[in-house]
Amino acid sequence: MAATTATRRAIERRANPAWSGFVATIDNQLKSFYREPQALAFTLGQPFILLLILNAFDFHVRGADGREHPYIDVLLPGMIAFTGMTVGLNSVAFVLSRYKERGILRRVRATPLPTASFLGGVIVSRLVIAFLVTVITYLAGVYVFGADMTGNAAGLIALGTLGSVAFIAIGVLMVAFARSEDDLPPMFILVLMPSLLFSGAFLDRSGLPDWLYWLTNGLPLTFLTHAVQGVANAGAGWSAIKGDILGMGVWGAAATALAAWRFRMA
Amino acid sequence: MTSSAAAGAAASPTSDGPPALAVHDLRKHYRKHEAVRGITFAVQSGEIFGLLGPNGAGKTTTIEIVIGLREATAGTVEVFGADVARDQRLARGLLGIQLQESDFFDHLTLAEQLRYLGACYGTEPDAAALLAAVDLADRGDWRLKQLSGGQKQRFALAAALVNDPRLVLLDEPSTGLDPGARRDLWQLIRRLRDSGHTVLLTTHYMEEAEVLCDRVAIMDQGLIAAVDTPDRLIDTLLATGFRRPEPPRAATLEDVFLSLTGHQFSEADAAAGVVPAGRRGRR
Repeated sequence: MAATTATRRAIERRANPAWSGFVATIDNQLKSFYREPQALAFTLGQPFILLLILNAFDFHVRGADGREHPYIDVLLPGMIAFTGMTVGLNSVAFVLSRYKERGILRRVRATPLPTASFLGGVIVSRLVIAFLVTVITYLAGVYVFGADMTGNAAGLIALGTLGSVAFIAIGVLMVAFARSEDDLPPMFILVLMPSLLFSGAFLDRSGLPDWLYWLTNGLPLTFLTHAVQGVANAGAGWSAIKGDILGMGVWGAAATALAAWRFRMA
Repeated sequence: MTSSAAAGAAASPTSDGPPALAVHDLRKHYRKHEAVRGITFAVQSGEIFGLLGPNGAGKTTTIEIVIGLREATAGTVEVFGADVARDQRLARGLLGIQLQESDFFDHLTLAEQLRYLGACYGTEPDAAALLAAVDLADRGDWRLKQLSGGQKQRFALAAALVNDPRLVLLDEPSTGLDPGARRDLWQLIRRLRDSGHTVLLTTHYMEEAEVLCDRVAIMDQGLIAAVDTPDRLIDTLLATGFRRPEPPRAATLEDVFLSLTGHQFSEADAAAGVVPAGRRGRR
């Protein structure tokens, strides 16, 4: 047993894989982002192109402060919320599903790296990406398309970044329930369509029939859009958006709990 | 159904300390299916041990329990005395693994993959040395898609060594390889044993088991039918009066293939990195 005792000590002297693997996973995943030119162009380019197209509609809408604004003023915060959602959903769900199908998760699962550290590393890398996309969207909106933002820029960017957390959790949940990568697009559309149409990110919610307004009040993107538009257009503070943050928190916590129960690396 | 005569027939090169792997009365039941029905065997430190059997024999389930991907229904598995279920971190630290149908990251270079996997074990492997050990020196900045099938399997072997393991587990390492690449891999596996590692491998190729393994266990329908050295298993069969219908010819079609394609292992070529895999010098 002497050999085992010495080996045990040697292995126990190693770095804790929960931490070293977590840091390495962030690095690994950021590389996957900037080394794939198409993914990079799509993620960074999508909000810019959407702003370009939607900004062509020249009309005024009522903002969170109750005053009339050029569409771009309300569109930009909506776009920040929307990109927070798509980065969160898209980047995590598809990559995890691909890794699962190709046995990469199985290989990682067989190391001493805890699943939570691996998922944590993937999630943090996506938060870095969400932060970059939010900053680029904000800068493009203000400096290229001339949006007038009343609220605090740092708060807005922080909201856009952290808002993606709930959607990342929903993305992991999708993978937990998907039998293969083919199952993801319909799930994705199920979240995307109502969010696109009824969250207020692009279209004014005040025109919705009461039942639909009530029903879509609880969409995660409705919470995020309301908070971002509140900060951007009316300079809303913590007290005005804490309900929205709570709403997103509930979505994030519920999705995380369900995903933790259902998600399997192998 | 462990053959009692065979179970004790350990051709163990070193026998101090606990065995590299001790599997005791291992069982795995799925809802209605018993994949593993109570197997007991030990792999001695320093040997190449083959786990053989037809598809569905329970090999992969056994392997998956050993590496901690599945939980046993009953029984114990110890790696150098460390229980894989209770002392997971130690057991996994001692185990190097190469899994069947398990891929690596496309976007990382070979060296980066090895360093990433190392970090998953809390180690900082010397990627260049590991790649050199599997004759992929100077390929550190290559991507996986640039490798041939044989090179990929050799890389998988390097990836199994990132945590400086004592027991290396190879699940069908030569499946899908041409005869030349398979021989290259055999040489590497022997080299692994000669450098002090214990190797447990599964294979469908009996020739591979015969030339490579010090001992083999033959599994069928979730049970072990026999454990012994390939030679003794063959002798036991011959002693029953068994004879092959036709005595084999002095050469096989595989010998013809190897003689025509020249796919023989040449360390000098590989180390120099001048001859692409599959076009190595004829011996």
